[in-house]
Amino acid sequence: MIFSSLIYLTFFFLLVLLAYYLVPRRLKNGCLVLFSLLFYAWGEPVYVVLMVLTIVVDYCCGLLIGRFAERRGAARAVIVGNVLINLGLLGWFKYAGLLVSTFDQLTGLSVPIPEVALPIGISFYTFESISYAVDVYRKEAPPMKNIINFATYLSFFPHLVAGPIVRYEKLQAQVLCREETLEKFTAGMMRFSKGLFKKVLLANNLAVLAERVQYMGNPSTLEAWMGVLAYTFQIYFDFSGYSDMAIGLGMMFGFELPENFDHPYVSRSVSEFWRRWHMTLGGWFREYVYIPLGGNRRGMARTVRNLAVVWVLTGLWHGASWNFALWGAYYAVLIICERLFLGKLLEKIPAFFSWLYSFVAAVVGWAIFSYVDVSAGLRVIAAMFGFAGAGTDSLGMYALLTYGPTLVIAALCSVPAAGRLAERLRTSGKAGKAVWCAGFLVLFVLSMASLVDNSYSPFLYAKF
Amino acid sequence: MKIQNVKEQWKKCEPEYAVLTVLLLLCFAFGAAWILFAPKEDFSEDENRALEPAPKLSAANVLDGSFMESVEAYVGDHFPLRKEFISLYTVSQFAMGKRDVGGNYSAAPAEGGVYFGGEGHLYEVLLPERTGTFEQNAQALANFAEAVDVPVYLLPAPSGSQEQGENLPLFAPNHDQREEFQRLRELAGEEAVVVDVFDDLASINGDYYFKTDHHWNTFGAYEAYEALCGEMGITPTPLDAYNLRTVTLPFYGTLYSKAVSFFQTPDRMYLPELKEEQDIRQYVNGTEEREGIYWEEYLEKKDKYSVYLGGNRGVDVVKNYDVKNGRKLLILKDSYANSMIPYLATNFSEIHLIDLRYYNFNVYDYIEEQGITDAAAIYSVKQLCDVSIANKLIVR
Repeated sequence: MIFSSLIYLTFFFLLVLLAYYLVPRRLKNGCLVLFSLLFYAWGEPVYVVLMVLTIVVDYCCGLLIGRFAERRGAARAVIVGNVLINLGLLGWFKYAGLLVSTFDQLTGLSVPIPEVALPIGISFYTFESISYAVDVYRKEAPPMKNIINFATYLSFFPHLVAGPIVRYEKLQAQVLCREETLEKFTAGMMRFSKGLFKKVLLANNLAVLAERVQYMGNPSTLEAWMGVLAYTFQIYFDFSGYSDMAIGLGMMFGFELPENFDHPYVSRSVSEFWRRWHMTLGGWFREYVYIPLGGNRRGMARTVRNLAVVWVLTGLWHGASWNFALWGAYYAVLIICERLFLGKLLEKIPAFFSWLYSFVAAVVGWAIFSYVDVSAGLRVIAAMFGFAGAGTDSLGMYALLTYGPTLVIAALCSVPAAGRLAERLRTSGKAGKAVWCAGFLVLFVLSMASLVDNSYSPFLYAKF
Repeated sequence: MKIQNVKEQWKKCEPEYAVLTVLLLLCFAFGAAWILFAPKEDFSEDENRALEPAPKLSAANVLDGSFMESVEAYVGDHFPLRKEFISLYTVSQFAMGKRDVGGNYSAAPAEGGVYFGGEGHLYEVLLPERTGTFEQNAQALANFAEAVDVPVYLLPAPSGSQEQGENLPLFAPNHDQREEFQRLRELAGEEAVVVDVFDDLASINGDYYFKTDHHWNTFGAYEAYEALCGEMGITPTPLDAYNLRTVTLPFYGTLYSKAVSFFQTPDRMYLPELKEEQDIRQYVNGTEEREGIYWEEYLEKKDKYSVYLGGNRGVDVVKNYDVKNGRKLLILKDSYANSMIPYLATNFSEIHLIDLRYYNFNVYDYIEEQGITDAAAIYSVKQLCDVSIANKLIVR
């Protein structure tokens, strides 16, 4: 199930809220787990078993690691086993197809490619499983004694399928003890709505242009820019909108989930971009890969190696296809360059140019990211910089005319000033409040219209 | 939280947050109540499809996910103010500068949606075809022409947006259907005559397409008829042999269904009726006899184009007992052919219409059994790109 759907809004949302606030305190986590599994099973009626198994295995491992607190060898054996199980599942379900098909291509053999459907959210909850085991092992947080509480951490539906990736150490106390207040509840509803607007009104809209440019292939310079810019804002509003919805929902149940996006497109270096984009993923890699590898404390050569490892893994985490690895490697190169010399240069040049560099770097990155076929992606990048295709064509001009306003609005909404302006309006007396509320309702009605439109599917073939 | 605390807590909230939260939750609750308790419609005329029936719960349905899909479809199909929301969406898209709606480029085959064109016209967005369906269909038609002994005429019908390009929105990209036409001509070679109606239907000569429907209109169908007669060496019945009866009820066609809005003006429809009546009868499914070929009941419905022959089915035979030339024309067709029948019926004793999408017998046997003397395939180019008919034409 996704949050931006009619079934979620009209049924699941109300039911889970009602149930949660009606059951007594000691059953609240159980209620969340039940609804979370239902939420998961809605899209994955079979793989929910995998989810439950993961919960049981991780829970038991957590208890063992806790019990072996003074016997590090035994604790280490358990954690290694636990992490291997989790990575093994992720590897099988997500990467087996890629590995076998690549092996076949390289060797000319034809080992049958395993056809496994990717369980929803496995990339996210696997990382949270690992966070649990490691945090318990490091004694940063105690293991959960009660499996329901552990399941609340791992399967809590707001962050289950697309993050934010919450570190166990950050959520442990909240799972055991939290306070729900109307203040949080109403602010959470607003945050959820903001995310809904981003996803439905901006991301879904821009997706059509991005897909159209992809479908047509071999774009002109203008068309390539329009398509990739549409994707640039689509993915930002899609993903940050989802995070807003998750954080808002968390608040409605008394939780405080970590922020995941902080206006990434205003960054003035690629390193800064990654401190503002999908922050919880970056944080996870820093905490559980980069620092354990030695981080930046073992000399420049090791730092460079560590950065390269982290970024290629980050790339591959996004999808089982080589363009994602290339995308990760691309960022590895940029970030290593910034670490070596570029960073100092960026601080010296005017802000506009360091912003331009960072933004164009991100846009080029999305071109690699959005084309599974690497050569097609590279062709589009070549077209963007005038090395392939014509300067303009009809789709490029048409996109500029018909999507220009949407793109401008998207760009304006992606900078901090937009939020500040809305906030100033809301807090500037009665008239401002009225305008703000009216605007909110207009966006809400338009979002509903868009969701209903999605369900509308004319079947006209019978008439052809 | 305790009830006595609620009052305290209200004070801490931002008042507008609290009001909007309550309002939104009430809206959702209203939506849920509506879906559960309001009376349901079974059929959506706008979409020409049955709406999702109440989901049935069973273990198998849940395990394969079909129950959940059914619930989601049910909620979408029976949502309150559905048509108003959809119209509002179209209008908001238009206001934001969009000049096309309904595109879905990740579908297979990709769906381009509809352009808002000039003069109140809606147009199909034509895309290059990437599935190979056209090539297979064209090859199958060429094979058909080679395999049968009667003369074969292929008439690919261009879309309105192909013929009225100057009405499209500024810079609107559109695929050129002449590419398919040329390819069909190449494949057919000497075996069949490929009738070129692209120039005849161009807008410099008139408006040959409905504004809200993807079909050609009465006049477009006549142009195509004239062109086909020309290639067949038949004298066409002149258009002024007909009275053009105006359909009085407003007509909103298939393109409107893809771009439902508040601002669309309705279309006009004319039915050609011979001034000197002839004894023309339709045999539905080849057997069930009807007087004439117009199904008036469809004029009361949304799907008015089905007034011709009552829509599409596997086989229809139209006999004209006042034409005694003994010529029997077989037409492999989609619905574009339907509006040509009022004209073609004046030239052939029998017309056998086969819609391969619904026909599951051997066409070649049919030709032998019925003593067919001429064969034509009348298909819109778009249909040949989107739907495969190749497997129904395999030569056995």
